[in-house]
Parts: sequence; structure tokens; C-alpha cells
Amino acid sequence: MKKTLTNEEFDSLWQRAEVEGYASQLSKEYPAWRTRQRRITGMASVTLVAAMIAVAVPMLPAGHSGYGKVYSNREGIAETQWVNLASEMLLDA
Amino acid sequence: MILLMLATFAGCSSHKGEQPNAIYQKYASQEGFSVAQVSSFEINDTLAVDVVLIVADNDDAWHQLSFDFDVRGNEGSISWLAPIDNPALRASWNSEPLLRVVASPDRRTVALYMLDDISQYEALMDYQLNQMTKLN
Repeated sequence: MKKTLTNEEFDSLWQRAEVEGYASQLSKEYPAWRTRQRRITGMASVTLVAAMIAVAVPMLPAGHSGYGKVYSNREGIAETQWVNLASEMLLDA
Repeated sequence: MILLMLATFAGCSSHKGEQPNAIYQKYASQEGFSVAQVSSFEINDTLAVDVVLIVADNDDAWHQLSFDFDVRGNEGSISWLAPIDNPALRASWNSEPLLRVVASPDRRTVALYMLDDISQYEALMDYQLNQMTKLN
């Protein structure tokens, strides 16, 4: 009969199993725990990436989405229209 | 990865066009022309170029523009490389910064893409190819 492990006990056991090379055997014995371990590892990765993006976003320069600044001698023409024209002219070339 | 992000953003944030350039200023002050300068027009994740767009508002203005840029007839859009200080002159690649000029009689528009080096020229061609691929 399998012993019911607490989270802490399993984490400790899993770490020891990975070091000593019997993690695959342990995952067969406790498949639900292995799934949980993977989920925790996945969540840690997602959290890390989210934290990195949160740090990086304030460093984005203004107008990063495709162009920097638009000067024009005509009011009433949206900046994006000029940017689109710059792109479309290349298709005409 | 953080270093990669920083390098990427640093490349994109190097805005060259802090002021409108001479070609922009020449046409922006004339009647009959709508002119814009798009600074740091991104052509890929790390490269951006400045673009000047000159649109003739009427036939007379287009006549002048096509004369200035030596665009003959209405044979369709044409493009060429030109020295920065003489955009009407047809040039080939050298070590100097160049313009890629595109003239479209249908749109009565001339676009000038400012290229500092060959890598920007190649990136611009890749951008053009990618945009065409998206349409097909």
C-alpha cells in the first residue's frame, strides 16, 4: 500500500530521486504527483517570463509599434496613413 | 534573454530623424505638396530607416515633382538608388549612405528611404518581399 505523502515530503523525495536517478520509477509510482510537479515547473516558467516582460515594457521607446515619429505639413492626416503609405510604396516598386 | 531584449530595444530606439531632413523641408514649404517624414520606420526587429513621403496634390505639382526626380512619362512605378544629396541621380551601391527612391505616378507620390549601409538595403528588400508574400 502506497503511503500518502504531503507536498513537502513529495518535493523532498522528488529532488532526491532526480539526484539519485530513480525519478522515472517514482513517476510511475505516483503519476498524479508527477503531473503536479510538471504543472508547478510550467507555472514557474510562465511567472519568470511574465516578470521579465514586466521589467522590459517600461523600457519600450514611444511609438515602438512600427515607427518612431511622424512629421507632416498637413494636419488631419493620421500618422498611420503615412506609415501605411511608406509600406505600400515598397509594394509598388 | 534580458540582454537580448535590451539589445533589440536599443536598436529600435536609435531614432536618427530627430529633425525633418532637407528634402522634407524643401517640399513641405511649397504649395501643392503633402509631405511627411516617418522616422524609424521599422523594417525588421532590429533595423529602422527614416522615410520621406512627398505627395503631389494636383497635376501641376506632380509635373514639378516628376521633373525634379527625373521621372519620365506614366510608365508605372519605378525605383532607384540615389546619393543623399541628389535624389534624382541614379546610383549604384558604394560605401556611402544612399536613398532608395520609389516614384509612383498613379499615386503622384515619391518615397525616399534613407539607408546607412548595405544591411539596411538588404533588410528593406526582405521587408518588401515579405509584404508581397503576405498579399499572395
